[in-house]
Amino acid sequence: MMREPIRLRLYVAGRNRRTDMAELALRSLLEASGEGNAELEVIDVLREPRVAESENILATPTLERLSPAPRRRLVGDLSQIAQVARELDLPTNGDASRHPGKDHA
Amino acid sequence: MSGIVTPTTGRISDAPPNSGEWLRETVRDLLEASVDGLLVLDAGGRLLFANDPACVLIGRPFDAVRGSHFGLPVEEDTPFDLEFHRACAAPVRVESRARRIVWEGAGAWLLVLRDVSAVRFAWGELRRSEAITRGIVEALPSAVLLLDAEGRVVLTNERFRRDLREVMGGGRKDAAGRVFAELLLAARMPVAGSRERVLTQVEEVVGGRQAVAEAAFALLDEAGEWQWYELQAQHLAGGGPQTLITLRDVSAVRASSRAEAMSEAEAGRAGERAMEMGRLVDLAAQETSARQERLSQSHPAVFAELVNHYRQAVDEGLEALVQQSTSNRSAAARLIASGLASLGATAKDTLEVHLETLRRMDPQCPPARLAAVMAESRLILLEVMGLLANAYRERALTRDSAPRIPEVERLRVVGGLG
Repeated sequence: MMREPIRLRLYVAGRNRRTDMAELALRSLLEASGEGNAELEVIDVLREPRVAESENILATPTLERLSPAPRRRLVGDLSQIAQVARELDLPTNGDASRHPGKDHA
Repeated sequence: MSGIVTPTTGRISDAPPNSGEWLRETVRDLLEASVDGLLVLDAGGRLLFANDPACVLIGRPFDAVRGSHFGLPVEEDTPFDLEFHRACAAPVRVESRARRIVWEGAGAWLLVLRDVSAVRFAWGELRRSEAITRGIVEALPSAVLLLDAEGRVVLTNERFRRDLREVMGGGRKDAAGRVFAELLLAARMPVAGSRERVLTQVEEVVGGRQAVAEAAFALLDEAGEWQWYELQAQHLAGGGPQTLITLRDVSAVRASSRAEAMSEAEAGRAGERAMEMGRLVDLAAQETSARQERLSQSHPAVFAELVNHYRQAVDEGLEALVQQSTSNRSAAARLIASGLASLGATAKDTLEVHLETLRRMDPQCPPARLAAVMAESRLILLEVMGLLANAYRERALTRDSAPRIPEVERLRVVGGLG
């Protein structure tokens, strides 16, 4: 059975050093996960307010796991990347056999 | 009407005191009464409760966001920042703290939200202002220190760290946190009393008794060279650092001024010499222009007389040579030179007297005598030339004060030679 690809979406308000660092850390996390088709999309709510509105994003920064289901959202400080990976049930380096979403499926 | 008044809102509850229902209502009342925004999220991050301040921060009424997927905090009890983007209102920055709670019998999260927009903005402005100030201070060409109200160094700039930190006893350590007096005491200041003078001036400003003070002092650098500095201490209004110390290296300026002064003195002396020479030349030119012709043409009788006396001086010189007696050559040369000078004779005139003397020699004169006459006359010529130059020099120096000798008088003087 094909596993769903990991798709993350990061909502930020403008770009600054902190959001850049968060994006960089998340991309590193996805690379280290061994998931070749993992995807991270960054949405600037100041540039794309409709997306934020349609997704009912109330605060930034918000990180959402779009897939695998179920969707999960985290808010606030994303610098603790290991904690973020744990909360979103993402595989970390050497943990590629574990697939996100299986606990919630 | 029966019921219990809840302690926070005064709302009347029908629930019996200390019952579960009463406690829930009391907790809700407490949450509602908080000035901080409070959110309750279920285990999946959906919004279960928001008090009024939280709704203000979110920018929507609770009914509009009830059950929304807000998201879970990453960590418990660790403060983090969130930004809320409200329709038709400026975004608001919120400091948040999360705590796991039990809400209506199930696991949940309580988020405390505090509006820190103004604080963050003020901090941002303060940091930007500090960065600009620090950038300006760092770029100043003078060494700069900022002292607090106790005279402790709060800030130094690059110029101070590069040029003065070690000289002023700071070693390689930063001067920040040290008292300015301590730095000065460790410095080598070769001029007696300068340390005390500088300290007094700075303390007057640090103590707020004086707005600005200035002092100049010398320091010995590591090579033992004197380095001159001008210090300015300036009291700063407002909080934070109280005194700005500026140290300007004026060693080069001083050296330049000294060299300039020496150069000016030397130029003055050279100028005096040039003026003296100029006056001599000017005098000779005036004398020459006054008498365009040669002496032999303008005053032929006097010229002939001078030639006779020249010849006589040569003969006397030769006589003295033969008899091995003392020559009277110098006295004769002085009289001839005096006569030539009184007429404003030039070197050419003098040479003409010399040549005319030789021309009048007897053609039958033995060669040995002729050679002796030529040798003696050359010596007289040199002496007369030197005396004539001296006479003109003296005349130039006393030109304005000395009365001119009338020509008749000159002739009489010359005539007196005989």
